[in-house]
Amino acid sequence: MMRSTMPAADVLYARRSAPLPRRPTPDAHALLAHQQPGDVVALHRGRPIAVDEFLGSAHELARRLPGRPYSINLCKDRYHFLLGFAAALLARQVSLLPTSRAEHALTQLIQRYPDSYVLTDHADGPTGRRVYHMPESLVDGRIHTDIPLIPADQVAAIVFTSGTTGMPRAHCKTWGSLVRGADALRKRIPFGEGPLTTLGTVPPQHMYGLETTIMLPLRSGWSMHGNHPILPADMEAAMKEACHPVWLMTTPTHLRAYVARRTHLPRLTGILSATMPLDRTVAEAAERIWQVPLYEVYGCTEGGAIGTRRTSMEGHWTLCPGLSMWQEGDSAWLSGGHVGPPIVLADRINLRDDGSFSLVGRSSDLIKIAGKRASLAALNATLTQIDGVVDGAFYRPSHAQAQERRLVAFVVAPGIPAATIRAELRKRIDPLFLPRPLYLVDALPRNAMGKLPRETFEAFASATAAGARRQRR
Amino acid sequence: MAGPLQRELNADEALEHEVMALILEALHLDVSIDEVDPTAPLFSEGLGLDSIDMLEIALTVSKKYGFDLRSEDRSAFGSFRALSAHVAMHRTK
Repeated sequence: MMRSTMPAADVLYARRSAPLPRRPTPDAHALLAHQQPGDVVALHRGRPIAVDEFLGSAHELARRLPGRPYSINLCKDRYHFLLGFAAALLARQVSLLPTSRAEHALTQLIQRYPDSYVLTDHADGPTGRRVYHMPESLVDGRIHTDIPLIPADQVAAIVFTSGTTGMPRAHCKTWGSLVRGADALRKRIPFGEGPLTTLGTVPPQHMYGLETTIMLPLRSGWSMHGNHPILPADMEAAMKEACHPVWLMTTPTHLRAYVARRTHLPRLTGILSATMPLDRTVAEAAERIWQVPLYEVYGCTEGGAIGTRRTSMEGHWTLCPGLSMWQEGDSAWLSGGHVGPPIVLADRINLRDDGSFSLVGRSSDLIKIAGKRASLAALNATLTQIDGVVDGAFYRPSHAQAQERRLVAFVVAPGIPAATIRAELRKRIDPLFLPRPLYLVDALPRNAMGKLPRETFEAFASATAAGARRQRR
Repeated sequence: MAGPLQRELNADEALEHEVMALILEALHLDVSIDEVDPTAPLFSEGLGLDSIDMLEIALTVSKKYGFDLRSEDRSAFGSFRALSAHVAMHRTK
């Protein structure tokens, strides 16, 4: 393997001594909180990775990474992601964490950050000069016991939310804000004193995954499980490998499946759920089946974790320490702590006198499927930009279970097969938002203003769906 | 030709039909069986399913056929034909 000519990372080091030194200063925080060189940072393919091996690999990767300021980290293996993230921090690079792997979304991201490269660990996905593949082996032959200190104001990651125009909005996360976010979660959730293993069903590129499966274990001295199990049987197998009691970082969608299968999770000691509200009955069932506490985290990409609740016992959310929340008209604002300057929340919030809050809905343009947000306006703009599409609109069925129901699209595109439009959409939007199904229609029921009134559109949608069902019979 | 081989082929076809109907229904795909190529890939191209669908397929299959799918069974998730062959081999009910 060719060695990059990039100079060794310029890193502030704590003094060498044993056990590992940890001297947090106001303007820098240690990369990890583990106490001994032999402490386990991660489980990778069933093998424990200790602090010294992890640091050696991260330093070696930092030396080899392309010398560009932005690293688009697409690694699917969670340990590979962690290595890439840590190496980028050491090399003073910013990790870009796109929510979508769709071809068009990545192209757009690269155009926006021309000084970037793609870090990946799998064959499917982008190819070309810009792509750097995670090496199979990363040994630098040196013993690393000094824990690197990362400046608090260094931009560690940029995460993205969907803007209403189709252009994602970027949100900078400094190392200091990520550290404060992990510390806030640790203060809110009773994780206990001993070492834990985190096991996640959410990708580390998602803000919730970054906070709970990367930052929490790093900053708490725990080990993180490198796998990304989804299916109940995979979850069971991953759980058996863990070296410490396990906290599961998951979502209502996954949890419902494990509850339904009564998946055997022997080392489980706690569950976090986020991305959308969990039914109290599912929370109660989970606590009963596995005899562990289940906490929910309410958060958003812009702010990270905002509040938590023990769902089986509390209906309201308690704000994370350091944050303040207030209301201006219909909008709720948040600032302080790991959030920093004020941000406005997309959800409508009912703030109570004691500082706790409840969620009362969200703006009608916002779509959320499996933890990912999209703007209906942006999806519609993307659809109508496709060659040959004259008019088109996405539609969200409003009936029961709509939270997990996919979107439907109605498209006017004379002479263009639905499969062509579907293929074009697949390049541009996240698969979660692909229409199920896509109906080709002669025209949309637009009013004189060119708008699609909700009631008219609903009637049109059900009539079109019924017509298609009749045709299939 | 109505020997034992033909009967087996018919049984395979019937199971494939059943599996397809089950999954299309569970995923709210709203397409008819005739529109779907049983040999087309389920993920990325083809039907374009994602990991949430994979979870739903695993749940549906375990409920109906009494065994658990693993993501290691990569070939089983290849197409409807591969999935129903996998079901035929591992079903307990």
